[in-house]
Amino acid sequence: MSENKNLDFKKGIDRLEEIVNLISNKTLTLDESLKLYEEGHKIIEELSKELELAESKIENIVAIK
Amino acid sequence: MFETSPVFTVSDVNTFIKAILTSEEKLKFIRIRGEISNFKAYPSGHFYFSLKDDNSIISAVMFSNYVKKCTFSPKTGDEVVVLASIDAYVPRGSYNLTVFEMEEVGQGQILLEFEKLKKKLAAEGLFDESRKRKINIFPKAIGVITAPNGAAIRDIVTNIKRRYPIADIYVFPSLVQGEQAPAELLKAFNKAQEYDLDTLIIGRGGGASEDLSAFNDENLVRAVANSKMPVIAAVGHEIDSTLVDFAADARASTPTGAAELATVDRREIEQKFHYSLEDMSNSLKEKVSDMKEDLSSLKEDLNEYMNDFIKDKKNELKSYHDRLEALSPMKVLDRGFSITMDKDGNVISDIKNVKKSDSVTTIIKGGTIISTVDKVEER
Repeated sequence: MSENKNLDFKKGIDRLEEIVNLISNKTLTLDESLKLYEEGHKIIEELSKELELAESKIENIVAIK
Repeated sequence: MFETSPVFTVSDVNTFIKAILTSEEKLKFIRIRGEISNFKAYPSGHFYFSLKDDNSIISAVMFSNYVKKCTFSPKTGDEVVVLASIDAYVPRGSYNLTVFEMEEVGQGQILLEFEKLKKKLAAEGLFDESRKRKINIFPKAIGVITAPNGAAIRDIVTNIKRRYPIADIYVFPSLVQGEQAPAELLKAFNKAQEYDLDTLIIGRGGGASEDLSAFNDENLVRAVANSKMPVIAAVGHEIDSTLVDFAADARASTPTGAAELATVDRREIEQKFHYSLEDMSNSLKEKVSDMKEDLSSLKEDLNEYMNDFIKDKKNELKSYHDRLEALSPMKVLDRGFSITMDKDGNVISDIKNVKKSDSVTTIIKGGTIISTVDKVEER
């Protein structure tokens, strides 16, 4: 049913929120900060694309005899 | 005897009958129960029908100004109770009812049964807040049980697509009013349970006077309460609620409202992305700026240290220089001593190394003396 929804949208949103929090930590190294930024950026790109391309499939379950 | 009694016209008689009928208090504003037959609603807004029981029938009219206040749509076959007065139509010699109010029979009964069922199911805990589940606003699949045509399904689908096009929509069509409705709704509902849905919307459109009774059916209400997935009900409107509304995990007063409860608005998500990107960028910028600062102050520290180090070494050097100076042989000259050298520039430090007539150079403070040795005396 949701074969192509490999990206769990909600999980993506949750992780994004987490990243925004983590990245504000002053004790991170530059390398760690950059990695988080990249991950966050990637999530936004992928989820945005999914929204953009999405088209609700509408199925009419008929004939309930 | 027959020939001497007065002769009236038909109109006289009919008028007289009308007068009698309309002056009789007992025939004013009385409640009458009967079944509607030959019902016709005219474009003028007036209702013309007959009211009957098993043995008799009487014509009736309900004028448009009273029809407007009527809260239900009557039809032939309906059992009703009316508030009416007797009237007569002289030209036809007929009498009829002028109806002011009309009410379905059993309204009171229906209400009573509703309250009874509501109490019973509430006592079983079916309506408890604690049973209500949170709706996942990022659904992969939403089921919709409603009439297959009409504004309700259209509104729901349009709004889900607009807000969260990722969600797939599964429509389980059913009648939503009439005798067959409860059974069909239940069938549709049970069918929906077989699907892997995040949320199930059950609802209908329509105005305030629509018949919502199908959504008070006990079996349907129980099914809603025991649904495998959360249910959003969009049945009752602002004023009235059905038992399905109470049993559902969430309720909306319109189909559009149900779609809104079931999904996140993509514009919110897009805004969130925008702000998240900004936040992350700012964090990163801050980090770089902090590091630049750190680097800068380290550089300063290093410079300071180097300067101090060099200063120290300079001082050290100076003090060695001073000490060296102090030990310099040239200093000895200040004290009155002199250095004597032979003609080759070698220092004469032993009396044995000089003899009479040698040419010697003597360095004293201020200059040199060049002389010849007259005599050598050993000590």
